[in-house]
Amino acid sequence: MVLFLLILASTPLILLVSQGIIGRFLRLVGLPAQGQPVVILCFLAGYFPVGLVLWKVYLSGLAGESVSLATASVYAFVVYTVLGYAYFHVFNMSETARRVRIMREIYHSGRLAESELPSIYSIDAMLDNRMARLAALGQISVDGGRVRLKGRLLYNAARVISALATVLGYSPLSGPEAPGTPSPPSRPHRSDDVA
Amino acid sequence: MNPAVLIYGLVAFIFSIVVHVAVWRLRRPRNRPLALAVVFFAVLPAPLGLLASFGPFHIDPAGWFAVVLLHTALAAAYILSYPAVEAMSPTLVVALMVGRSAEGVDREDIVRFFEECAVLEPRINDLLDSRFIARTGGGLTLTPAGRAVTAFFIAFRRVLGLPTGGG
Repeated sequence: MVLFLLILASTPLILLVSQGIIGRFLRLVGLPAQGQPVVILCFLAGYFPVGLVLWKVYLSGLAGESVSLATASVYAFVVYTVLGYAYFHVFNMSETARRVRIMREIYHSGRLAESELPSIYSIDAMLDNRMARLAALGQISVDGGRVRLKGRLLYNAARVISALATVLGYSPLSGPEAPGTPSPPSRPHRSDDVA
Repeated sequence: MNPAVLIYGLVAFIFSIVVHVAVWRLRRPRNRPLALAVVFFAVLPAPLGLLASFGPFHIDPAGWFAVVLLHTALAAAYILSYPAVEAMSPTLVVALMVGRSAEGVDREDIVRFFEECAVLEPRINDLLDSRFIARTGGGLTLTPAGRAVTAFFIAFRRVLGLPTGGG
């Protein structure tokens, strides 16, 4: 069982290695290798080989014990899925997070004046990057400057995150209620934040 | 595998979530990454000790390892999702804006929206609060912790053969 658990604990490493190999291969043969779709591909494709290895090292030994086998199978599915999701977030942070971007700019320059940040981080480029990623993930379509919803996965995720923000005492994520009526989201630091 | 592993792993995670919500609603910590690590990992022995002492199921040492792994996986997923909760994620805001309108939204409206709200300032404040950066001599510099985190992300992208990232 310990080997079974160690393999599951290695899920992020397995995804890192497979993403490195598959991403390089796709670029080598000239196929689109945008980061997020490749991560999702590696994650989904990983269910079968990881499941096979887990079967060999542990699950096959539980074949006569239906409750143990069912429990271990559910456990393996949950841990692989949740760690894969966590890996996807780490990758997303490396790709899109503003905090990581700011730290990287400071890392390379040694010191950065706050007045320099707007010139480094343009709204247009930030939006273009994100809209390209959302389009590549099949979540939006962009047609003649009009942006429309195509898939509901991230929209629903945004609604869940917004609800969770409310539970934690933050103001919910907000955007314009209707097109053409922008209203800034209200996410101020609370005055009772403590050190 | 003992089914209690799944139950205890979930109970430990729910315990951490309850503590997290209570602390955040009572008095939100300034260094939130550190506070999350404390709530989800440093406090973990408490629910595990209670379950080991008073829980209805017996679990062997390998089973406890499985409980900790399940809790760690759930906690990692939650902690990594958390920044989107406290910060306005531009990607999610775009999804919300577009999703709320059946006719879609003009790209220029989205640009105008982001121009009107502070995109970078709250993130800089978060980095200062988390002690990943510091204001020194009129500029921003990395602290040792911030340098380590940045080096991790740069190395991570290099291992994947990718440019160092957009943001």
